[in-house]
Amino acid sequence: MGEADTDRELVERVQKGDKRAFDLLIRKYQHKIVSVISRYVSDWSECQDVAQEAFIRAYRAIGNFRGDAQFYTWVYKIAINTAKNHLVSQGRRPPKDDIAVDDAMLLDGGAWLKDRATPEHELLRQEIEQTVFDTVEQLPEELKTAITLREVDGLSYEEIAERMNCPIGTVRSRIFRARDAIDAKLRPLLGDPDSGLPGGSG
Amino acid sequence: MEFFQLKIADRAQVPNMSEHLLSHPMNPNQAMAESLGEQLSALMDGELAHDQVRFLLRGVEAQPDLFRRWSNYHLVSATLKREYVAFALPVNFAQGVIARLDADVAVSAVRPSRRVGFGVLRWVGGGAIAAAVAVVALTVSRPVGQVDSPAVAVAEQAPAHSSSQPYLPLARPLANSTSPLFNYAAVQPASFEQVVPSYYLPDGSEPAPERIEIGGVSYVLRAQRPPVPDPLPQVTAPAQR
Repeated sequence: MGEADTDRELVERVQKGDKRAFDLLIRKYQHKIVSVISRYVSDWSECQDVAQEAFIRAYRAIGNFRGDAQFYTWVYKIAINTAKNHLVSQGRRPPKDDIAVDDAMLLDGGAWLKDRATPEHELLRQEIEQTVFDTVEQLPEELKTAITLREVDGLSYEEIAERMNCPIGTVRSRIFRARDAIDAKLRPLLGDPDSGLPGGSG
Repeated sequence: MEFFQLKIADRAQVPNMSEHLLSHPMNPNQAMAESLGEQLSALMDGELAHDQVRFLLRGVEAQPDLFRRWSNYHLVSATLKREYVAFALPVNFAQGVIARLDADVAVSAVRPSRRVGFGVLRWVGGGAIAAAVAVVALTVSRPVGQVDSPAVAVAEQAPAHSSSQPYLPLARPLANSTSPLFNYAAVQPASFEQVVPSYYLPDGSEPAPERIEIGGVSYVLRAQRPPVPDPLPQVTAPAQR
């Protein structure tokens, strides 16, 4: 089972009416989708509304998703169409050229986003980035290696197990513990709905 | 609080439980949360067995903090991959989408299948549908065989059906539509099974009934062929001289 299979698995659940699975898909792609939409819709609040609308449209149409393309590519196109429709409904002209899905999230391609981010957003973004990298640096060596091989090098658990000469279960545990350690550091910055912290609401 | 040490003699008996979970004392709730967290992490990497996903989703529902963790794990992943992401999203962004879906009675969780071939239905109205006995009728305007463009549908709330009236095809054809119509799709409570489909697909097969959920009530949707219009009056061409 690969990463694309995870999406397919979740999509199948959604198609059977499981909203928990759709919640996971939203959370997986929400930042990417909002980033893409923000290239079309500059107002941040408007941008979030359009993103929500895009996900709602995706949910309504998910019965027609057959898995020919990746889920992200599919929802990305819905997001762009939703953003364009929004501009048209506001009497504004949408840009002629779309952003290629592969370019949308790369840092270089994100320079445009950086320029448009408010100072508060950019500060928070930098703070989060710093926290993630600092925490990874401070992790025990075996956790740091496991999470780096996974996230940066994109190796499978089996490949990491071979590299680290340990069982796959151990790899799985190390990656989880690394993520959990970083999450613990991020929580105060991002906010926790249960704690009432505003976090990253912007 | 009572803590216990998990004692498992043979790790092969618990392949889903990691070395870490086996070796650290924790209470049952913590152990479950940790186990689900680890599965969530594995799911993210596409390393969770197919049959464990459903179990995980049930667990996630019971422990909403796992949704938050899932969000953050993806944020961490994007950051480590040097992707630029919009960090300033409200923490309850996804919850907002789900809440809107829950509140929107117009949303149909089940879409028509490709085999049926009439694309997207849109449900409108019915905000105060009474209990499980309301009957809704709708009209779908849809060229036969066209798949991608969404159909237009008009739904009307009807009075609760009685046992003497099996269904109420209340919808009307859309005004100004020149396309062939699939007409009088009737929506029934799921337990009601007496609506007979009366139109067929281009290949001659009968369309499968669709199930939708409105306001927490499950309905069966079946479509019927529109009534055959009266034949146009014959116009006789004037005789050529």
